[in-house]
Amino acid sequence: MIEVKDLTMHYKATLGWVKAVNDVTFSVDKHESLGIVGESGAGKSSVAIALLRILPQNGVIRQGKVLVDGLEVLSLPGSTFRKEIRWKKISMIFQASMDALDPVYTVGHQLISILRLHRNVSKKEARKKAEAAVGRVDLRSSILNSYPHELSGGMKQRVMIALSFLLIQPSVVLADEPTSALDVLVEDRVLKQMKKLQGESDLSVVHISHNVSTILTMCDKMAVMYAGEFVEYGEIRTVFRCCAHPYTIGLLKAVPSLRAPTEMLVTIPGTPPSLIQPPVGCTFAPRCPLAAPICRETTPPIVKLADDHWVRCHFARDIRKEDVHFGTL
Amino acid sequence: MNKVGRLFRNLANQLGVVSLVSVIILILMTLAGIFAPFFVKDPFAISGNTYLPPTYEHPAGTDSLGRDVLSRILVGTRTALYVGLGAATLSSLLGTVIGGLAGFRGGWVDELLSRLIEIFLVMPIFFLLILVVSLFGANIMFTVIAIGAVTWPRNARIMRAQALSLKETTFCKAAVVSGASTSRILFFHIIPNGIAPVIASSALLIGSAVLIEAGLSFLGLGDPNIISWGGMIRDGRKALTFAPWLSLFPGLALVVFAAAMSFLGDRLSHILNPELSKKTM
Repeated sequence: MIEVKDLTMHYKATLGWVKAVNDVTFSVDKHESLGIVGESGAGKSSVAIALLRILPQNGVIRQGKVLVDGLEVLSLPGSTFRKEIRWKKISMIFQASMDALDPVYTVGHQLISILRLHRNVSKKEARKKAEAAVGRVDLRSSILNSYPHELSGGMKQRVMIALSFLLIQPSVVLADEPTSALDVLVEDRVLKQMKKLQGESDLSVVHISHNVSTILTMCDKMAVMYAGEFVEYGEIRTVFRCCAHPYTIGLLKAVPSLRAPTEMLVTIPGTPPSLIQPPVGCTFAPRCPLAAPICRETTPPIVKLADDHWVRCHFARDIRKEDVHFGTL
Repeated sequence: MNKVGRLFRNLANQLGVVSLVSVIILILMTLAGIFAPFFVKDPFAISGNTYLPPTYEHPAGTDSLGRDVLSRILVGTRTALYVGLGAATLSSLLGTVIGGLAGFRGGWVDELLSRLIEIFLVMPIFFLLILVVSLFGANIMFTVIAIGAVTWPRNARIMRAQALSLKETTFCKAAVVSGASTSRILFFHIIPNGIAPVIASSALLIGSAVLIEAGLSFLGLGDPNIISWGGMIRDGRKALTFAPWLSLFPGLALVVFAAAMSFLGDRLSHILNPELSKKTM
């Protein structure tokens, strides 16, 4: 399981500090999965980068705690973190995962060397484990002798899933838009496979996506990220039915539904604010149809609507979905 | 027969006719160099038949001391290979490691190594070699080391550029995330992926290293204990009016070797760089 408390990470830019991740708090239990949604530049990937401590040189973790299986990992020395946490405890599926395999080595070589990096096993055992792992994602063990360019995008993605979910069996898997480079049919297959594996093992999965429907089908909890902070967080059904942040409402209304009566899809006008100088008060206020003067003056408090549901909005208790009107296409 | 023909056609398609011929020439020259001691006449044996024109007995004539020129050319191939391969290996090893480290680590490491590369880059190669020879004597090993030591910056620059772009790739980030150490990423991911242009440039370097050594020998700065093409050209200089074959044949060997190496290197850089080869196809 993973618990994140008040994680704040900023990038230094020439114009000032880019406040990419602010006070992000969440926890994911064993077998559970959390989906983080938000538009591009909301700071979703920065959360993943901060959790794995693969910050670029200008990135700084300002504060926060990350507990993996109860162990604080942000304060660990770099070499311990590398040997004990990376991939052993937290693994990751990348945004363009098909490029995450080194083109000059066979798939098998890469699986085996990662396994042998973290577990003291012989080459033969490692090969057996690698075969078992790719078998679980419905790939023939002969692909271990193939080079990455000989596989299709979907196959590579499944190799990556085997690599991150099965090979070392970490506690946490971060999936950063794992299907964004795949077509819908392959995406469906890959997602199903991930969901199956997620149910079978003791993993916590943090699923990052800009696709609300992916999150809705894949996850147990959902966090909506806007301008570097979580604006709504809760159990997936609760958020879906009783969402109370205008941004979440806009996002959900922008997704076409198969069963509901035909409605015009909405768009949220405007663009996300600059993270170097975020607006005073509520970060969403400039684009919010319900914004009142208070929204532009004071930072909204976290309003707890239920045990497992909170919203960062001044009017969280009063907002109903029907009252929020965005423009339509 | 048919199979051999097909193999040849495939190779010719891959390499192009010119580089295929170059490869064949280089293979023959290498074999000749390796096995020369077993079939040539003693290249040091002096006889009374000085300045003999090419005959059946001496296909390339004899020199001022009556030594067989062809034997000396063949044995000289060994010097050429030794100098070429030695200097190119040294240069690419140094260049790859230093350039890879500079590009991969970035920051002050990059600053420092880049300045070092630039310092070596502006050194006039020939004068440095002359300095080395006059300091350490005309020893072929020092010549090889000196050529390697002044030519690595080119390889280092290539490798640095490769490392700069490769370290941003997803698979290098994935390697970091999977717990690989810095040196492991550099040596197992960055260098194998970025080595191709360095190999091509080193192939070109083999040719130029041989030329540099020949130039040194021509100036009389070569190792006197070793038969080198440049030295032979120098020796034949005095007899140029009445026995031109003394300089002609070693010069021909030198030109053929250097040209074949350049053609091959050029072709290699195209083959190893898919973007370039697409354009030429």
